[in-house]
Amino acid sequence: MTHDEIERSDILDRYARGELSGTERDEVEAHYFGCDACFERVQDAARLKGAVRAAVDDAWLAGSARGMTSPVPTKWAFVPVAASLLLVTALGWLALLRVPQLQQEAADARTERDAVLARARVTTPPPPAEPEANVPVAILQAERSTGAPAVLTVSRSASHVLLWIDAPGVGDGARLTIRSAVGADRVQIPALRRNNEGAFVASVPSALLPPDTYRVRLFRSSSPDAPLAAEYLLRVVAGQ
Amino acid sequence: MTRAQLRIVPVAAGAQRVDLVESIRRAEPGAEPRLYAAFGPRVQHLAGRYGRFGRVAAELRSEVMLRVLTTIRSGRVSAGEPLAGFVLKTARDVIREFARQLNRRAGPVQAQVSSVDADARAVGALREAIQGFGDTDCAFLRMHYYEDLPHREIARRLGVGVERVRRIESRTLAEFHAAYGGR
Ligand SMILES: [Zn+2]
Repeated sequence: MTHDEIERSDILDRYARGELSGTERDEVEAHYFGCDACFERVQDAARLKGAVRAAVDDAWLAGSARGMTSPVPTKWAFVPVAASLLLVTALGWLALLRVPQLQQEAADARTERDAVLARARVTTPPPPAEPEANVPVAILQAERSTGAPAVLTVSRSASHVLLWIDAPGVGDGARLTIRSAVGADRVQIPALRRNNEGAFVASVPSALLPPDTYRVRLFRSSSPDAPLAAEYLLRVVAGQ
Repeated sequence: MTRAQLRIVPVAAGAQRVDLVESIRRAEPGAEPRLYAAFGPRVQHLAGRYGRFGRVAAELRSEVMLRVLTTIRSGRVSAGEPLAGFVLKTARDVIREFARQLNRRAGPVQAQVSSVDADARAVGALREAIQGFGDTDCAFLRMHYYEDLPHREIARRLGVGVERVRRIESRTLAEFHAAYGGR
């Protein structure tokens, strides 16, 4: 279910009313967990519903329209004096009781969040150094390659990928960037040094390289204005 | 072989939540509160729909966020797995467990759309927004949010088309949103 499909339909309205089938409901929830605009709308509708209910129950919005069949809606019947009194009472209630209560709730929410973060830190220290099998490796060789990209298949279980770069003609130190197809530098490694085999090797979290075609660019030194020494095409594909 | 030092640079919006997982694993400052800010309200909203957890609502949200954080920190969220889907799945699991503990029936929990509590800020925002609403808008609010009538029936009662009712809904929601402080 895409954002456009949701915008064009009344599915969020039906979701709010509890009218969706299990599958539809799951899809809507999956969407708004990842979509800020739709979540905002869902949340606004829930808040507005609560407010309208309170307003009708507290009689500062006209009563039920049940049985209304005329195309002309009922006029809102505000009695000015009663309304003013209600407003004064409501403002007093807000200032004296509700605002301090809301401030306390916000403080409680922050305390709760901090407690959760602290517990998470205690519960899970950083992951232990464990051996990882089948680490995806790309060996990038051709300097200034304009030909076919090197293909790197990355399985879901791979936490990192290794890039092994033979770059003759580059000094002992270099800077490396990995640029996505849309031109954003997803990774910058400022200080690479040649290993004993004469290659530059970098380990990159696979989360930073979702399937796409990248330009791996090697600069002659770690200086930000160092000239480009070599560029490689790398295609990342998802494996099992 | 030593791991080269990495610096993560801002990337296009769609990729940021993947990076959030990586930032949390790397214990970067601010990453965990960002996760909390993004998903805490969604978890809370979901819990509100799936039963009256009342006093345990905060505990439920804490439990979900704790599980999400510990799973990410222990490296058990696969690279590329959509973070939103993972949080949602965790939230559903926890809601189901809480429902069981509260002697609700096991298995899939049912949505309870009636469990909507008024929040004072929302009531204040409605008071403000309503200044600019006409009679039709107000009648719509009452029929839609109080009487739970579907768009089609509201359109019939107001003598307008369903499209017009949708436009009224969008506009009143937008005005309410602005008054609530979402500008
Ligand atoms: Zn959306």
